Amino acid sequence: MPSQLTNYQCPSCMGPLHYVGESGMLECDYCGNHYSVREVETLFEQQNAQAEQAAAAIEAEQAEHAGEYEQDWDCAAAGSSWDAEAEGMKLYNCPSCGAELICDATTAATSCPYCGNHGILPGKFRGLLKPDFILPFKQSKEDAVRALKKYYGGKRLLPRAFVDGNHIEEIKGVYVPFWLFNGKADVDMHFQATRVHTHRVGDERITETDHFDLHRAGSVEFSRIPVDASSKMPDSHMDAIEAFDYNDLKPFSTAYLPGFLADVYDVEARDCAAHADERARNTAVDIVSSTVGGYSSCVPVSENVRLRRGTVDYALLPVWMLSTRWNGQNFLFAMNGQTGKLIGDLPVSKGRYWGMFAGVALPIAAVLALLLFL
Amino acid sequence: MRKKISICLLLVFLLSLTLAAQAFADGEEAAQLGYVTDSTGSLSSGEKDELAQLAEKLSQEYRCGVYIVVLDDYREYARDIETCAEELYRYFDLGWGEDRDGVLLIMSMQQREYDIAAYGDFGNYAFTDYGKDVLSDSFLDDFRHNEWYGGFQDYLYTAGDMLAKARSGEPVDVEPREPTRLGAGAKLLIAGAPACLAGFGVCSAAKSRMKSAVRRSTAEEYVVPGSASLYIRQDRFLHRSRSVQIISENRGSSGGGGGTTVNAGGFSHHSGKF
Repeated sequence: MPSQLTNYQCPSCMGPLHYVGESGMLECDYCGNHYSVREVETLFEQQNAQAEQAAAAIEAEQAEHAGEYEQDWDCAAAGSSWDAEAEGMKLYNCPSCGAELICDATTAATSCPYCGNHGILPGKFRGLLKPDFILPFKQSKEDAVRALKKYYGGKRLLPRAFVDGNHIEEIKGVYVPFWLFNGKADVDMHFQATRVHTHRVGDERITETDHFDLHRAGSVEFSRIPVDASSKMPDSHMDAIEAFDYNDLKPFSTAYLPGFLADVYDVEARDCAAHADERARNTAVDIVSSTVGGYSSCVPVSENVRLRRGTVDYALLPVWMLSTRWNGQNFLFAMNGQTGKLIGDLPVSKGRYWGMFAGVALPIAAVLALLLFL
Repeated sequence: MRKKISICLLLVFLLSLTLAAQAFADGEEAAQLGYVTDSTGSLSSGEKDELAQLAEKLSQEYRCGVYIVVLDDYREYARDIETCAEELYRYFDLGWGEDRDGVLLIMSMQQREYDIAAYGDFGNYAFTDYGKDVLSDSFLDDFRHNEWYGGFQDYLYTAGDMLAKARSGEPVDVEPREPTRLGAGAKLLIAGAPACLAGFGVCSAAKSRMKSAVRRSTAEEYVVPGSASLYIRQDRFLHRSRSVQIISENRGSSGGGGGTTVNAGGFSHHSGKF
């Protein structure tokens, strides 16, 4: 047992050091390393000096960027005017769901990709922002049809009539509008951690718990966190088909539009910034928390996240979409037009559900009953 | 270890020399160690004699040795009290008859630990796991109040009762459990419940595969590579807390079923603290 406890920690394993009278050395309870008092004092003086320098540097940096903290996202540069390019563009309105879709003059829109309504109407192309970037489609329509058929496969609860009446071939390639948020998060966290070790002496079980205060501070930079800018598109669908590889991101050009529809944003960047904030905060906290290890328990006791909100870009990202109705309910499937990741909620056939239940439960019940009654 | 035990036993032997001499004189089958041996002075000379007479009477009547040994610290001689009891029993060739039937209550005052060790076919038959549990209950209340003489008296009387019952063919043991008879409804319920659970489990797993649109709350894919930096990383030791838990008495030898659990050495035990 240590005869004297101090706040000195082992330079090797961070365990508490205790002074051993016989050797005149400080020994670690955990790894057994030993150090002279002078060595430890020198080391801790250096560490304190480094910590003070780091704290001063942080304060200086935070003072320098003081104006950036908790400011609104800078949307001034998001999007631009179409100018003469608008001449070659057409706009359609969906009277059913309110979607506004644009396409080039050579593409004809026949139905709304969000609600499947076939009665979409031409509208006037004006007052719209031109996107900054576009991510071209990599997956073809054939890829999308194949992926959707595969997605249906193996779903034993899926109603057969849903698949038959699905018109999978009507799947459409749509450029969905996204706001891309660029920024930085500074995180300062404190944790309470413990290391527990137990040993037995005679008929006593002795549990020793070392308590630690952990301090972590760091920063993380984010580039282009996407949040969809279309009110018709459920956020869960667009979140689920991520991630997009921005290495293929191109400056916007109408040359990528022929054959596809492009949705027009109807949610302002500021109105969907809360989702970007949430994602940036949570990720920064996760990254900083992941630097804590080697303890029996660790509980965060304080968490201070300051966002340095930066610029916002307006981009069109490729999505293959199929909207279909079944029993009065709309089902929307979306596939990442770049990576091929497909998602969508499917209806459950009650008949198949109970059939599966009976198929599992009845044989088990029969066997158990046989064993009990015999 | 053996040497240490021998030293211990020599000490015990010397302390119980007078009783041993008397026991030798009484007959060939009497034990070499006294029926009652107290190396701690917990009992007066008169109390020890009375207990020894009672133990001898019971041993002769039921042809099964009944012994008491009180030590100061068993750890000087063996790693645990059960081993100490077994070594003592073997070394002094305790017990009656060819099977060396007997029961020994050994107590270690420093640790306040005890062990009841039974040996031989009849010894293990008479002192079942449950029986030893009952036997310990008879004296523990006294020992917890340092009532040594009263506790040993209770031990001897209860051991005598158990030996009498065992000789009549009904040792003290748990009541055999009647097999539970289930009605048809209960059987159907027992068969149906796990089947339904399995059915719902499989269906729920299949149903969960029908939903894949999930909102995300993190953005780790959009962290700029190499941008994550940690400028404070400080682990500060605050203090150490210590808790001590007394390891509860060992009831391992008294299982839930009836009968006696006998180890490879032929002993059955019940040990604990008082």
